[in-house]
Amino acid sequence: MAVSQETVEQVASVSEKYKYGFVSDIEADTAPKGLSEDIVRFISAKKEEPEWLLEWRLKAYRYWLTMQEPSWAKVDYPKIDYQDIYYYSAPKTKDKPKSLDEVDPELLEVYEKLGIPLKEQEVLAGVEGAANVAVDAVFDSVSVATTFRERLEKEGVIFCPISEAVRDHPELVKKYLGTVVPYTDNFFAALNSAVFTDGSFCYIPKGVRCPMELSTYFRINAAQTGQFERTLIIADDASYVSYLEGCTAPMRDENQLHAAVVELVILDDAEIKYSTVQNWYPGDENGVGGIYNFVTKRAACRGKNAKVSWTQVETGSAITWKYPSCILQGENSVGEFYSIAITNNLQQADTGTKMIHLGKNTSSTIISKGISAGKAQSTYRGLVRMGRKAENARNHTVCDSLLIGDKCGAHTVPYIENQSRTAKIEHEATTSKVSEEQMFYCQQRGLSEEDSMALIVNGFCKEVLQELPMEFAVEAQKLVGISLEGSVG
Amino acid sequence: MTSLTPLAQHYLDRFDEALKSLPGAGDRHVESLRRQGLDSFAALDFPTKRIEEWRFTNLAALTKAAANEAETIPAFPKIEARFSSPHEMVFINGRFSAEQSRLDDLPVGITILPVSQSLGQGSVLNFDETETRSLVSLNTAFMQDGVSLHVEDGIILEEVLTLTFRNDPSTEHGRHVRNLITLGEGASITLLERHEGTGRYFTNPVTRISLDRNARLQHYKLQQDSKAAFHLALVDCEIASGACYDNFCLSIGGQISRNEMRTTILGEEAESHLNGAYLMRGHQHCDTTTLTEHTVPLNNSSQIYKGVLDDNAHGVFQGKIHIFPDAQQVAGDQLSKALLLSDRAAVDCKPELEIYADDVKCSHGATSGELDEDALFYLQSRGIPFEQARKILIEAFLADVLDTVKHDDVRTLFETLSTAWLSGTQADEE
Repeated sequence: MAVSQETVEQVASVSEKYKYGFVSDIEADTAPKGLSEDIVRFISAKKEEPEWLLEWRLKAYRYWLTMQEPSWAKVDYPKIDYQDIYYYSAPKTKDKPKSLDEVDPELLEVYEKLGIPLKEQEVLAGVEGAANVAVDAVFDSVSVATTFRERLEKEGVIFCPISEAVRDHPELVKKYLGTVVPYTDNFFAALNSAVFTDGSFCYIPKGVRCPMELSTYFRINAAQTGQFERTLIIADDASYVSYLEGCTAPMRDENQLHAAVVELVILDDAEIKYSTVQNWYPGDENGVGGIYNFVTKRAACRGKNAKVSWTQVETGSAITWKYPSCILQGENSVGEFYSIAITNNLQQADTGTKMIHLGKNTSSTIISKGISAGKAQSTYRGLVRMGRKAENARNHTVCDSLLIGDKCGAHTVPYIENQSRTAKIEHEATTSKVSEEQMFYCQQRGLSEEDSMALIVNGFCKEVLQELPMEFAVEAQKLVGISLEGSVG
Repeated sequence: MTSLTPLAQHYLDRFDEALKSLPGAGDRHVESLRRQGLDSFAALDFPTKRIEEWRFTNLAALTKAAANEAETIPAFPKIEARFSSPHEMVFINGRFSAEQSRLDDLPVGITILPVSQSLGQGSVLNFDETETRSLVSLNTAFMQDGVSLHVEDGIILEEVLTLTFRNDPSTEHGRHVRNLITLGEGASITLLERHEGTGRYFTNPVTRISLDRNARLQHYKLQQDSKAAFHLALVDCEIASGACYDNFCLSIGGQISRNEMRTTILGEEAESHLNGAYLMRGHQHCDTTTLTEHTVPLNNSSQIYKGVLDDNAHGVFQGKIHIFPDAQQVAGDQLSKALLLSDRAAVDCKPELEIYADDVKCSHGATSGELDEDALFYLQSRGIPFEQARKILIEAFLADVLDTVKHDDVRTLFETLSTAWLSGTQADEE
């Protein structure tokens, strides 16, 4: 059989190194280095924020000062100097761009390189009704462009940078901001609350099924900056939205901090599907550089029959510290967590989820696949808690780890707390390696050792990959291959 | 430094006085070890929920209370289960009782002595500077007595050797027993460790076990302390190649009880099996914490723990399998199941894997929930009354873990006790 062009491309892209590692020369507006109340005021003033938000930021900052950086995670990194980071960096623009034509062409080029179609007309030129994705692009923590605004507005969907939402929809922001992840929640959430610069805001009104997938692309560009974005999504009664998130960063030999907060609010009968392909720069094979990804993500299923589904493919970042959680408060609400965490070289990942069952008949599913190669350490850390009132609640957890090579580690730390007699919890975990028979079988069919490994690992991850929206699934599959490069042979 | 808990302060204040009446008084070496233990304890205090290993167990009821054990608590009806074994060593309130012990018929090659009489002979009492478990340090400082048992190479004892620890309230706080058990090459022995008592007391037994090559130790423990007692036990076991450590613990008593076990596998073809069942009701709290370390390739370990929790009882299982780098071809399995019989019962579980070698097979499973309604309905539809149907199902739930007890007499004893517990013989006094 002739090798199709597609296969050639796929193989070519698989063998590529970290292809998002370029740096773009875009003039940026930065605040002085370091963190203080003045910086918080500076950011707030830059964003022309109302008084209440500044107050909230300052409260968060003062609270942060009293906190200690957490050390319980199974990750090891030198102490972060919080005074050695730029907390505000924005691509310089004369005025706010009114349309995409006014956006710095260099910026658009960056997104083009990343393969993100920001230009609406290109997509619109396609067949009407074809799957479209509305994109909000966040560059060094400032939203630069949001596409498909008008079409979404017709449906009543609000999708805009959170800084705009503060201005245009203060009632919604005020009502929900910090209600899922309060600034007192943890060290990085407090830091984020004090200095967040932008992020996406999304509101799906009652009964609306969002006509397209919403997507945010995060890009860290400037050196020595931290990225602190904040995402808030509200799904009102009986609405539905699928939200995608992607992230990349240039290759640098310094570590950069990314401390984001994502809050999801799901009301009666609503559903949010949140997918992430996290591909921050992981550092080189000697562990130099890479992003510290310390993220707090939480969904509150406040209404009856609410549903939330987290799907994540974690391949990047030098260190990952991330536990997308579900608070299942409404009766019959459902939480799902599908995760693939791939670590190679000297990457460290401590990731998992929390399922907190408070309401009756709530149910949750956790499927976690951890893959370690090289000298990487990957940890699944999860909590399943059944409250007293969580009658007939259900949880099923599967967390499997795959080890490639004898220098890496895979760890599982589940916490299971049950206070409800009628609740049923099942947890199973296995750890194993890729069997020699499987490798041999693939290789004797003519696949190279690396391709065989990618194929087997993709099979291992299949349960999670199939949960991803189409646009992401292809990218994710390739990523699995790239991330494991150099791990065999 | 933050202030110590009242109980820790009580121990510190009492130390100089206590030293005079504890074994080894006047021996400078022993006294120096005790003092090191005390200093280490003073720096650590009793564990709190802020310590990861103790996140599910709160000792406030023990540490905040006045250090007076003698408060009057009515005696509890106890399950009388007869178990006769020709060899028995008895400790009353932490001290060896020669009158009640029967050790004369032990074969040659088995040396068993109360620690109080063997302190001069080396390593029974030791102090490890890296020790972070404050209860071990406390035990070192206030050690009253214990079992010093050595089985020589190739010696096999068929009968069960029983170690009984009986406690009553007394004015002296705490029973700090230190046991040292060593088995020579190819030695084999079956131990039954029994803990029982009346009233409110605190017992803190620390046991160190070392198994030489191809040795076999069947270590059964019956924790039937009074329901007002605090039972915090620690076992450290080192297993050489080809040796097998087989532990089973049945926990029924105690207001707060904890069984903490560390087994370290040091050789190929070695085995560690930790199993147990806990049956709790009233306001009882039972914590099982295990750590199995595989330091070398080619060995295996297993764990099965099952709990039945009624009323306001609280069960905890924390189990960790740690596989060192290069410890290839290791198999480690772990299973924890808990049955909640009441709306107020709760269980916390943390089955942990820490793995640094790739060619291993490890798994863990944890489930918790109520009795299967369909099964209950099925039995009732066959004319079996509800109460009996429930009992049958719970017995079945426990059966497979009780089956891991290889010694017939001990298994029968444990089965009898479980059945009696289910019938509520130990009906609640609260």
